[in-house]
Amino acid sequence: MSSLARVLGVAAFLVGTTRVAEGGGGTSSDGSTKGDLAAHLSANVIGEVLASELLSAQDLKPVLPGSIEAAVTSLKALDKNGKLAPGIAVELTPFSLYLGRSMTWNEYKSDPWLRNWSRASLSVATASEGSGDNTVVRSAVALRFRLQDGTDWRLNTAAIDCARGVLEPKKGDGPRLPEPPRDQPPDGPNPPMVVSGPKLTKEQLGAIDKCLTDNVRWNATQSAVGVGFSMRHPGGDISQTEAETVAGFLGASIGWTQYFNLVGSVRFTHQFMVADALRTAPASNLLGLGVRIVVKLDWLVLNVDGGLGREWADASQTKGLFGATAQVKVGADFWVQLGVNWHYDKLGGTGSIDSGIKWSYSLSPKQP
Amino acid sequence: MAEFKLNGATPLKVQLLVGGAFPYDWDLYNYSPDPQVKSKWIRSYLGGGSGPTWFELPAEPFGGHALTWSVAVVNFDSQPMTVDVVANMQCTNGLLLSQKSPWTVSKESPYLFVNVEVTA
Repeated sequence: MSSLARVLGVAAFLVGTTRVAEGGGGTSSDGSTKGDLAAHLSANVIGEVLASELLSAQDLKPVLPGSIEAAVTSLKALDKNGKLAPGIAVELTPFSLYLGRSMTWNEYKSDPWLRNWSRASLSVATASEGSGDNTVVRSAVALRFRLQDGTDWRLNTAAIDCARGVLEPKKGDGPRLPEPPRDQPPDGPNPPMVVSGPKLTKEQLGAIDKCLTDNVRWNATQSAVGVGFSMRHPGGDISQTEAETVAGFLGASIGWTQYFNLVGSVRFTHQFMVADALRTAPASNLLGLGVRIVVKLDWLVLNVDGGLGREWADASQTKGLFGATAQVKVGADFWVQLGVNWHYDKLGGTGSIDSGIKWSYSLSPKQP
Repeated sequence: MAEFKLNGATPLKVQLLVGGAFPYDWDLYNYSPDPQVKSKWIRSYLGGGSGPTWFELPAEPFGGHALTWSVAVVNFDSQPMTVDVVANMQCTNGLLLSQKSPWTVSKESPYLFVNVEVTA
């Protein structure tokens, strides 16, 4: 599809907004921490790199070291001339570092505890705020433990059988795999123990990828818990580290048939008192719950979102949201989206409700 | 080449282990020295299997031969991973011979050959 279509696809127009006030306006008194509560209302299963989520820096591309040596090299990148370097995310799992090295597929499949433990991840991420002399590097360390993961390809027999069909095109009783040389073992008369065989063609790689996309359900059941800790380092100086937040997450996604998905998450954060060149905020506690129901048909994608959260601080506040979005296919490559939403804000003794309606259209050939 | 030293024992069966919790299939070949041409080998196909299944060897002398597994690893991981590849041989007198080597699995290179020389 052309770039013009993609540009059109993201065009959106706000056609109506109404505001209902309950006893006056409700603006934030310090304005410094109030935006964080909104992030606690959205439903999602805990993401791949929890430390990046803690910093609201999910765009960071994480490094996933496949050995202890690679992990040490990745973590050394955090040191920039004695200061903490921003813009780095590293995810470490016992599976990729050492446990998985000799684990067989049968062991992985048959022992859920070993499987979940080996895929627990410790993530580290850094990001920066401000610029020049006022730069503050933020860092986070987080631990995520999967309880269930329906997207795990190692448990997906259909995807594996499909890939076997690509890798082993020969059928029957004879050899199915690439044959070694006829007159000597591969790689000469005195070969190393392991020698790489032929590489896959572009077509074969595409077919392997398709095996996965065709056989992983969009609404696969998943659940995970996580804890994390974030810090602030003015100028990237580790000796000036101050605690920022400590947080706990629980998220789950449950699929039903090929049409429905229910996602729910709970998030708690304690924000420590912060006072540096960029930010001043009192200590507070935030608790939020988010729920999303998704219905997906060939011609319709319906999302219904609800969320409720509370912040306990000098000026406590409550936020709620309810929204629904329908994406309807009206032509071969033409989708129309219609959305409605209500936001509830209560700060101190006053509350307000915002409502909105939004529509957009997409020329993308794929379902939104 | 990695080596199984029989020390007079008779090999019964062999096994191939690939770490990383990857599903894999294999074909097993036997290379015997060509009596006609020095430093040349004659390849024969012994059989195939999946995963860590033990393969029972035919009753013939394997001293001076080489065994080669042709292996296909099913892998959807986007990141390469270094794993252990282990070849085991069980012999008549209870002797278990083992050889291990690291190998980096990547989605682009799912095929590998594993070679072990058998000496009497």
